[in-house]
Amino acid sequence: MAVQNSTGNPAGDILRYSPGHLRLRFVIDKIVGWVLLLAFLAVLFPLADMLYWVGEKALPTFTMNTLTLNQVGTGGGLHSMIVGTFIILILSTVIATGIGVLAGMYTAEFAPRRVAEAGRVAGYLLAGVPAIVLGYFGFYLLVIYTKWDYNTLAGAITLGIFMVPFVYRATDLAFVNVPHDQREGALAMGASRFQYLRRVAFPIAMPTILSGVFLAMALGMGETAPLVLTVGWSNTVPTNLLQPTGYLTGAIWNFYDFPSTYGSFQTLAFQAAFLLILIVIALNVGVQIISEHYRRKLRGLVG
Amino acid sequence: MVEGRNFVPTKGDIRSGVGPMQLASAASPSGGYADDIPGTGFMGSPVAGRSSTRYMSPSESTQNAPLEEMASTPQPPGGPAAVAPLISVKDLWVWAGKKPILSGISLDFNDREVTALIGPSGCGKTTFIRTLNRMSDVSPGLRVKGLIQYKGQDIHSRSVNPVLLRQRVGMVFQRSTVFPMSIFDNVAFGLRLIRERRDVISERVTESLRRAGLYEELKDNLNRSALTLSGGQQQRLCIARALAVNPRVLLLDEPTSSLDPSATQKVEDLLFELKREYAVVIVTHNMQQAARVADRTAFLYQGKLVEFDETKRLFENPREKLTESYVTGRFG
Amino acid sequence: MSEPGPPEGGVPTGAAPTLPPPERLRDRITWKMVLGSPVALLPMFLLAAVAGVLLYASDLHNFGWSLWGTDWNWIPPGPGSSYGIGYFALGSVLTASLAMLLATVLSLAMAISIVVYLPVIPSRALTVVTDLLAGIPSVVFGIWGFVVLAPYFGENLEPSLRDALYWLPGFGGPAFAIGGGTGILLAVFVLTIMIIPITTAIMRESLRAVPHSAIEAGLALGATRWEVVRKVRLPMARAGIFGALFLGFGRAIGESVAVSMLIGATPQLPPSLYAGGYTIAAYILDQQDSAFAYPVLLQVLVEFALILLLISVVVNIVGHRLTRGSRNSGTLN
Repeated sequence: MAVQNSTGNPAGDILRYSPGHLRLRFVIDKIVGWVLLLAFLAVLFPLADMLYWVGEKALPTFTMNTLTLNQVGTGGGLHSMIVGTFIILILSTVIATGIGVLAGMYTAEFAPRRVAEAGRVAGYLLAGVPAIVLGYFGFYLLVIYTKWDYNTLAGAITLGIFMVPFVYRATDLAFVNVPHDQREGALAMGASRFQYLRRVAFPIAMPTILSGVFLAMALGMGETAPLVLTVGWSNTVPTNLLQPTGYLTGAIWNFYDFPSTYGSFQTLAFQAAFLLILIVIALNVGVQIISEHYRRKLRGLVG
Repeated sequence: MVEGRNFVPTKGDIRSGVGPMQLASAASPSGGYADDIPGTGFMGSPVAGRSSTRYMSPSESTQNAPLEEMASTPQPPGGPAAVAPLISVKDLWVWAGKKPILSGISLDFNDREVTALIGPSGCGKTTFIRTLNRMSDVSPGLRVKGLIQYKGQDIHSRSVNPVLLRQRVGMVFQRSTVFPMSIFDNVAFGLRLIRERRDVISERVTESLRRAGLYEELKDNLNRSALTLSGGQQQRLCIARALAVNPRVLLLDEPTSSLDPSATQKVEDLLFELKREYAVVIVTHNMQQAARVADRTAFLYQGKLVEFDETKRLFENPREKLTESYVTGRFG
Repeated sequence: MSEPGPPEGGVPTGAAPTLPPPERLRDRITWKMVLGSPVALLPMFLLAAVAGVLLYASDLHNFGWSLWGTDWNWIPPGPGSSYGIGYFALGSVLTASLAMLLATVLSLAMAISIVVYLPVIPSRALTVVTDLLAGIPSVVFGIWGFVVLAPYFGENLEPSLRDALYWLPGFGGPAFAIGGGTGILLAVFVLTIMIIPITTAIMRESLRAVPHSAIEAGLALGATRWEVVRKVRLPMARAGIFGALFLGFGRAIGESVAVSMLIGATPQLPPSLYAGGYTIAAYILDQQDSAFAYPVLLQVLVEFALILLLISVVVNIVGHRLTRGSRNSGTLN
């Protein structure tokens, strides 16, 4: 009907279905939109498949025992690995946060321009160093050179170094992005730099820093290579930090290729994978909640 | 109403002098969405989502409209029946969120005439001309209500393709927006989109540059990067680029605000040439510029049309007190 | 202590005298002791330390140029052993390049979808999902690939691919090369999924960083969305897109765990993409227990690690140079 109307319409040159216009252009525009969407299917389908299979293999036998028992023979649970993962993660988070936040604040607030630039480049490069290379660094320095043998502390330090650049970059970004007015205002009122940073900049930067810490935790917890090279393996909870320990990614790495005739090794691996995915999602949700909470709080403060 | 939405006035209707007011009631626009506005939603759906400039038909939202005296908007002089206006705007409302930016604007733009829009900054001039070729569709969060007709065709109707509309109603922005490519390629950009033949392209590029008064200056350097041109040349290149796709209307959004006086002079001279063939709408915060170039001038204040008249009369003998204070420089 | 003024020169704190003295004292102590100290530059020191320790551990001149061969025979390490990186380097470059190419196509499509075509809510949802994908541990991809995908690849996908595409280089080859499904193709597939989040994120930001005025100018000339993407957005975001390519490559070449689980652990010149291979990263991960036992092997593997480090540094420097423009403007938004 639109075509009907367009005949003899003086405004025919802007009508969609007017004859004589290059309609192909508009068809292409639409087709491209749908074709591009296929890329999402191509990526999301494998993701969904993976989540499905991890659930399928892990859940039927997932009980409280999985969380509370140590691995014995080919059975048991993941208790020591869960504990080991958290010991390593807490230590490495402390290391990474300490170094990353201080260095990030320095880069954003104090460093001369050139030093700051160099620091940022170093941060990016450190983030790009393959985990396995960091693993060899920790392996040589903290396992072989020190003659400590495989131990939990070496793993925590190596993982901490792996996590540093993420915290560092987040902190740097957070302080650089504090609005200029806030800074000028605070300093003009006679606040010292310390007061400015603590009372003005830190509250504003906090959500970004915390997001960076959570991101670093999620990535660090998912790393395998640095730990394989430094922590060793044990199926009991360590009594001190210079002993080896189990950890969740290691459970997958050590058990993944046992055929099903070897009892529940592979099931344990999938249960570890299930837990890892859960924790990653929890950390991601945590980031969202924290930044939303802080945003609200800040808005309340500002008015 | 659903039946009526595809009603399109024919040539006969306009020729026989049916005023736009009558058309407005008959051709009530649909509340539906056009579906291939660039940069907005996904196909078929209102372009919506992201930018979702929502378009509402007048009847759909009359109850929401603030109670204002719509009738008080002055009518242009001369009577619309004499020459059918190229673009006619009836009771246009635009909101950003809940805040009204334009409140019930009615204006006509004639062919072969320069119409200036003046008013203090923030009065909605830019938003207004962006609705004329539906560039408002790509600004997030704008809601548009009202009737805008191009040659009698409601531009928000489903059957109008906004991409084609923008070819007919060209636009030049405040800051020159040359693409980082050669001068020739800049002007040929729109022509290549519509797959013109090579010889036609080079012919039209030359022609457009000549019309924009750039050809003599640049004819030997058409392959130079357009970014090497001066500000004034870049702005005239943008005009040439818009002319190349053969528009009927040219919308200029403060085209000289970032130019020096001599470059401004050249653009203004150009406008006198352009109005022989095009309808030109120019937004300016510079009253002297409006007085120099425009045949008719509209004064907008806080989203309302205060006065619309022949330029000379608006400046020398305004009917509204507000206009008088503005043109005499008492505020703004 | 009596001197009022900022702890660092050049900071405008004109009204400093109004502060109570204890604050100022703490101020000086804190910043001088903590932030003036070398701890602040630790990222740089850490990078240098990693390189330094590895250089120290490698004892480079022991092996020299024999490293750059394909001869690989060290069991047990002795005078006649040879340590050639050739097949491992080949595997690394091959898998990383193929994964990078696939990821570039897919993530460019996803980035354009997110930035240009999709409405707000699906666009945000898919952004969250792709970012979440980045957090999933590589070892989880590994076990999924090994337990679920490998049998499917070996029994269904690879035989049919071979039948259909035997004329295409890499897709033909002998039937025995298919084996149990693990191999280069599977490793590339999983690597692609693993690097897509990072390349998509960078491309997304590059496309967003194109000035709005240029996009509007294109639209105002009567271009469709796709025409604006092709003629305005992509050319202007080119640097960022190439940067994403480099960073994706760096990520893929450094991945050890998932590749080790999926590539089939065979240092060879692969007869086809279905065949097993090996990468530097996967190899040095797998052989760390031998490295623990044989100091000579440790030195070799540390050298491999150094080569990986060098590649990653070069690739990352190029990648960050290219993406800097879009990153900065992304920050500003």
